[in-house]
Amino acid sequence: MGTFGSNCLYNIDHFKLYGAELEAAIRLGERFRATAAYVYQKYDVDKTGFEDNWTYYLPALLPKHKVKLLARYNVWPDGWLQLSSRYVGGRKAQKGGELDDYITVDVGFEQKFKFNRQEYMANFFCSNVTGTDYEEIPGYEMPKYVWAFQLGVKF
Amino acid sequence: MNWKSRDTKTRMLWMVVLLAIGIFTMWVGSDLCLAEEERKIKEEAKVIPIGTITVMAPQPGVEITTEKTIIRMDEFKKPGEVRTLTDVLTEIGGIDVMRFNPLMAGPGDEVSIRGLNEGRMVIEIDGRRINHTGHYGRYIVDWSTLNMDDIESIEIIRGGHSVLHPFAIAGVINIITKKGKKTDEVKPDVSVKAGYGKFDTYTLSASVNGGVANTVGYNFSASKQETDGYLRNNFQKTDSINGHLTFFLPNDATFTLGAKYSDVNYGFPVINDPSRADYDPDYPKYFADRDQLRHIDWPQYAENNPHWDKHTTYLDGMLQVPLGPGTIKVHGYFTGGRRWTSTYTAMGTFEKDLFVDDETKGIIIEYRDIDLFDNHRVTVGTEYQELGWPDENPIIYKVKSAYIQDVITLGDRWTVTPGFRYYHVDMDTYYSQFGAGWPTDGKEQEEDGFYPSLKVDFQATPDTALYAAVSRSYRLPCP
Repeated sequence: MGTFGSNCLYNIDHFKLYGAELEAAIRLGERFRATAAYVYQKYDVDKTGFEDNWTYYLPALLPKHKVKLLARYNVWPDGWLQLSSRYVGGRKAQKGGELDDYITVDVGFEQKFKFNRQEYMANFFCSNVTGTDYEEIPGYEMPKYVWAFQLGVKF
Repeated sequence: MNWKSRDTKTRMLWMVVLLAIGIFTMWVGSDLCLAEEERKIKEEAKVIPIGTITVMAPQPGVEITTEKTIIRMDEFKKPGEVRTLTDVLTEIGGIDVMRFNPLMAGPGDEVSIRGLNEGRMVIEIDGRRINHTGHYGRYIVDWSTLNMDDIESIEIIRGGHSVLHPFAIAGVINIITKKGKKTDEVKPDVSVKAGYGKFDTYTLSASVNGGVANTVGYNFSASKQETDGYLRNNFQKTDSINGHLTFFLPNDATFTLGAKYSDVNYGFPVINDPSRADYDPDYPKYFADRDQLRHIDWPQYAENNPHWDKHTTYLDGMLQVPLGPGTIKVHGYFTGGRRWTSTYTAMGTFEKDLFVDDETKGIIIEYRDIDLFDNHRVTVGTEYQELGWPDENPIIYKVKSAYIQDVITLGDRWTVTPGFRYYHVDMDTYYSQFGAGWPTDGKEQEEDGFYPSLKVDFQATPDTALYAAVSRSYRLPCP
């Protein structure tokens, strides 16, 4: 059929990936709930003889250490403050070099209320609220202070 | 352009059929309601002991067991909108999501479980695989097409130990759709949402979920999303429409029809280099030496507005019938993707509306959850699947597989789950570029084999569960 092969280079029989995942549910009182996750992953590959200067191992582009935190705080009835934060460790780039580690923080506030037997929702949020310079894929700069709002109704 | 009109006609025809069946069933449903009431009176509660299961519920909408993580979309909350599958997956431990545009799920996003990506894990809708062959750009799963409008829950299985899911080395992400309710309440649940944000990003969505006379359930939804994007020319416009009908038949049997359709108009980010005459300081810098995990690896330029338009259709029909100690399931499915790509080639010339399509169809026949001898729960099944490129090579892979799994409960603490899956795969692919040179096409081969799995669970305390699993897995080769 003739098409484009990819540049990624790993076959499972030449590859070992090992790591650990730790997830925790945190509950403080009736108002605060959070999930925290830590992931460690590492890989080993054999030399296959097919390596070239444009090939790469996909797992090398993933962080060795990663922490995710997703939390909610019940400020008042049906009003929730939400926070999501990620720490992503240093990674290699497909075309050489390395990316620095980074931390991002997203925050949001959601309020629900009922009126005339209908349920309304208002949600305001801001991603990368700390203005971190980071890239998930090398070469693609990510935006800062990305705000948005959402309104909804259920009936 | 003929392909576009054919695609539109197919989509419209399917939605009209669904709506017509729904309206007809609402009409006759009231007569069947009485029979249903009689059946309910006769129905006896059947309780099967399954032992202790440790469930970690870290927050509303998320449950974690040794088997899987379940995310219930009506309860799941995070800062920001939950519009696409990747919006959810970014929050889940053990899953890596690499994006180049966080404003909207893009076709170039890369998702990995335990270090392995879509080429080595399974993405499913209602238990059937949606991974493409990945030809022409390695788009094995196009995350931009998986909107959350009609999603009830997401199941994530980490690791390759479940033989119930084909080609699962890294794990499984199974999207469970809303199929309507069994109810005699006339009024459906209606939801309408609208949002606006930075980079002129807006979303509109509406859904209706209900049932008629305890006989038919329905869920219809539609949404529209647009963003100018952050990088230059990286705009995206996504329209989607979904419909599901469930017919509640005698003896607890159900017949479900489902359709998901999306139209994604996506702009490729273009080089924005200050050394070039066409540099636009209003956008971030973007250079030719960036990584290209998914897009075809040559630079795109602002002139000519490089983009693609992609139409994706997922169709499903599923019959489930309780029979003896288990339940029979027959699930037929179809995935069709059609792309019109306008981009610069490796030679730097601009090619307009290059058409590439992909198509997957198959059937699963399964007898599941067969309760035997008080402590065995057996599932046995078979699946046939064809994956291809209708315009060039209609059947690239022909996959036949069969599987059996037994969940054996030993006392209060131990559960042992042996199983295996057998594959027979006919392939019409191409030779690797490594050393073979061009042309690379014409590689035909077949493979088969047994792939066993064993998982052992130990319930140490009511709050602590330990498990170990070992399995041999197989995957379809992909570009």
